Amino acid sequence: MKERGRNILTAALMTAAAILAAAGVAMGQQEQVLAKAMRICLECIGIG
Amino acid sequence: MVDKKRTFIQAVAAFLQNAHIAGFFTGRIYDGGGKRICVPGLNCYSCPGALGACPLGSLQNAVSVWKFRFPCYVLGLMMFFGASFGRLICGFLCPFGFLQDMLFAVPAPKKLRTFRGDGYLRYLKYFVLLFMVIILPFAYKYTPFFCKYVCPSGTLSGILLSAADSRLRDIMGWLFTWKVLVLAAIVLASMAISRPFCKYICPLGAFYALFNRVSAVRLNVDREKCVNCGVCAEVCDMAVDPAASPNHTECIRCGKCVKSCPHGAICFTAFSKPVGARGVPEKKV
Amino acid sequence: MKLIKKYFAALLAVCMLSLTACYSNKKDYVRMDDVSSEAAQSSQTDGNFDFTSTGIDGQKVSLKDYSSAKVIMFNIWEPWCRPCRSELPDLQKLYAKYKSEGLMIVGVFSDEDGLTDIIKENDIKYPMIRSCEAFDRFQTGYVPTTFFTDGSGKLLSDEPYVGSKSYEDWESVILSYLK
Repeated sequence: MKERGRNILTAALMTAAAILAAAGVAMGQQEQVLAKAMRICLECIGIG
Repeated sequence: MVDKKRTFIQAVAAFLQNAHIAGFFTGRIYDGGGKRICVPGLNCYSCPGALGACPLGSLQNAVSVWKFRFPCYVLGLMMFFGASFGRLICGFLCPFGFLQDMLFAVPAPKKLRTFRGDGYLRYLKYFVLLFMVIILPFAYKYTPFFCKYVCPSGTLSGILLSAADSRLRDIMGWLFTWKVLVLAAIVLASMAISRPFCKYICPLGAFYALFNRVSAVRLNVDREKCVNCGVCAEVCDMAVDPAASPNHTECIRCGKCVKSCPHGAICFTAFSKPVGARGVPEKKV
Repeated sequence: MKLIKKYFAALLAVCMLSLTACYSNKKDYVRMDDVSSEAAQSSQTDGNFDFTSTGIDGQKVSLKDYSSAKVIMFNIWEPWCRPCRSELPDLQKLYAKYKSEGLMIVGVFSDEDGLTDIIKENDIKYPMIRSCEAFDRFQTGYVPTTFFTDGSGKLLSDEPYVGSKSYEDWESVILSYLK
């Protein structure tokens, strides 16, 4: 019984996470992630 | 005992996340579409070979912008990884974890299982997550504190980049010296202690640890088979007692306990269904 | 083992798929591998640098707007990059000091997040323009990146300067070109 409850929680978390990520993609947030790689701020990686 | 299967998976995962070989020679990082996607482990996006983005770096950047918007994409992705695998990612997919494992395999005069204060120090990584990844970048803007001041993966990337691009060497200052010292300390510690970065510092491991008890893939101890012989606790590199707490937040799911249980009591499960081989079953008399 | 293998296979598939997602999407951004061949082409036909872009207010701008300058300092930066931001007040000071001697500074940005605030904060008087394809040949993959031309677009710097510099360091660089 306990395991079943845990599995439901797992499925709920995975679903919520997927929805959250999809919402982020809908807002175009993945482009922001890409943009940081196009021009690197050197100080952000410890150089300069 | 060396788990060859796991080492193979770790090597493949490390390679796949850093397969942009050209970058190591040109000194230019990959800037194609793959960098939209966060990899599950700690792998700096500025590594010349990196094909994907680092989840921690992406999270810090998202939180650090002028007009704050909730980081749905990065956080959703990280949650998905965590809810699916928990710290299995640490044990199998993280390139920096792989590096520490290789370093620990190097013979050293002393190998420490534990030391005084080890238990308390394990909590440090949660503070690193809270302050250096979330609060400080949010408060001070435009500064990914963990990436800038601590991350050894970034330091390695900086070394690899500057090896191919001499312009960077001219710019390196005290900050990079500090980061190299941090990296050196972690490298040296990794030869004496198993996975010191994962245990005490890694904020990504801290994040995934929160999901360990509820992740889809987790460990299960068959209470009818377990006789509390203590073998699993002896072999655990993270100083966890799997029989007592199989999905402890410190467990990186390397599978050593599964393999070494003489009664086959521990196994991996996916949504509570047993997965994979068990340990050597006790020979029946 | 079978199910774990399936999970890893799925993860591998995701990684493979990400490998296939190798295309550049943004008009402003050009792949590093593409830049070198384009740069080679453009430098063969015309050694001088020229561009057509827009300023913050949307007004059209090109190199000829600065042709009266003796030295043009193009500072490619991003508003979200901390060292780029910390450089701005120094650049403004240098611009104020040396514009009478023929110095022009042009800030080149791509992202607008936090842009207007920092310009107001530091009272930046030199022009800020949006990046365009013409600047791709000077992109080093890092910001800030700075290069110098004269008023006609002839390149003065052999290679772009990577990273931020102090006021004193930029001053000596500028003076070396102004002579």
